[in-house]
Amino acid sequence: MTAGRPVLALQKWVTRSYVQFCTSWSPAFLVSVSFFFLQEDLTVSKSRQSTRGFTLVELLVVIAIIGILVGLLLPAVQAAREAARRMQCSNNLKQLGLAALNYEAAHKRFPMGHAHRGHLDPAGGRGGTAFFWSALILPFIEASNVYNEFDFRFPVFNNNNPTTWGNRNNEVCKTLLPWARCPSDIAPPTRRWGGAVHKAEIATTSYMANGGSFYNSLSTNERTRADYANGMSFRQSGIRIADDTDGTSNTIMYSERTWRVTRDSNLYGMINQARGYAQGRTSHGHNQGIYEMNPAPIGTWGSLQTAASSLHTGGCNFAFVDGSVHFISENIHHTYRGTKAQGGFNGVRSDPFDVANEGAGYGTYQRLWSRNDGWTISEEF
Amino acid sequence: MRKSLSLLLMLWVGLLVGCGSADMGSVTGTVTLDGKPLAKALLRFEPVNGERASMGETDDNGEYKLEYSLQKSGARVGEHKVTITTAAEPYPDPDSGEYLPARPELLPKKYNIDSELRKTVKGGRNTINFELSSEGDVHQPDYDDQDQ
Repeated sequence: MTAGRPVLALQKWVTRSYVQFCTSWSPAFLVSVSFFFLQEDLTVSKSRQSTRGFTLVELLVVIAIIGILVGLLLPAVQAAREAARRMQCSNNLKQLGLAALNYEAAHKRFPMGHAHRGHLDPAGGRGGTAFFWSALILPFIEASNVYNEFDFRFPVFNNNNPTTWGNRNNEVCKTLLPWARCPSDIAPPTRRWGGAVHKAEIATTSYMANGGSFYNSLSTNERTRADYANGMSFRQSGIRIADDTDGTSNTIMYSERTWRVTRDSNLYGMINQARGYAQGRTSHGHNQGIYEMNPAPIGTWGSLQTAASSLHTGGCNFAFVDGSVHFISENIHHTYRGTKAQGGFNGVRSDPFDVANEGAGYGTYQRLWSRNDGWTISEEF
Repeated sequence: MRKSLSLLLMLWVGLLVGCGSADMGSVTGTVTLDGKPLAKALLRFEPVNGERASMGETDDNGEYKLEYSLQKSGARVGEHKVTITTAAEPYPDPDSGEYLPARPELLPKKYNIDSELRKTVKGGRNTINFELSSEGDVHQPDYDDQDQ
């Protein structure tokens, strides 16, 4: 082979192919390499010279092998890093699960999901200081200092006029807590809420309490109906461990939510002065089992905001009431019952647990969210 | 030389074969209502065998693309029950915090609550268009107890 222009062009071409390979276009690279073998076979065999050093073929083979190794290694490194983040996340959930159990031991109730009474309009069903469960468990997860800073006589924050009341709480709400964030999540540290002038700034979180398996299971106004409030935590809730009749190892306590799907998640609490204070924003601290896990962020935000979601590959971490943490696949058996806005597709609202069909239309996933459906969980999760 | 060549070719073929996914297909298409493109319609493809469903939303040109999950697009291969709705509950906009008004249902019940739409998704690329008509009963959801 003669030196000069062809070799230069060859070098360029090899470099380009290598770059293409590294941007995961390996089949094309291998085609070109194998093509080269063919050419080499024809040309080199005619005029074989024995000089010391590497032949072009050897060089190409080495490059190809290195390329393949790098191509194999890089995803493995990424996967190992993600596995470590997932472990960290499950540790956070473990801490939360234990904190909830310690709260239960001290108060004989699991923490209230969303404080709906107190302040302003206690009689009219509207009002409330709007603290979430995540503010109430602070003393049980080594954050007493933050807990003591809050003034629980006032709403968790005031985004209209911070100077009149709740201004101290406004400052406390900015406090970041390390266990409140999943390392894989992309949420900003704090989230701004409120009007154009005064904006309250609240720390974000990746963890949500179990708000039940139905569309309206966060509200208190229809608690008598069986398809409402069957979670562990909802507005003005006070669930005892005895209320979890399905068993503590069969009921979800805390789950994940990623910023990519919903772009809203609040630590400490969420208030809405325009629409009845605590009412209307319970979903910012609770997930529900009505939607499939890890939905794509399409449709109205309201229709998937309460789905459990994470950036872990293929599923989410869940803390159960007994304190155990499980990673559950996003392909777990789930039956969609529809939101009211979507016309309640498939929804037999008069028979929410599908008793007539022996629970066939009530998926394994929803059974884990519901604390009192009475159905067994046959599938391994 | 010949040996290593055939080895490389085998590797290459193996890589190509490994790339294809057999049980998923990508789905795109257009939704029209009375001949006009329908914007902001939410489509849901539920496999009749109970597997995980896919969802899509139309843009201003009535075009949609199905998404399977946060990290995967497309839909399961097989027969699907399809539901299409335009209704949406009032919800605070994630960016401003202001409540967005509820969107009314424009489509008759036969496309959502009592849907009889059945479509089959094959492996590879699928184009599934919907030509809907507004004739028929419409179910308008009410949001009296909407207080999520």
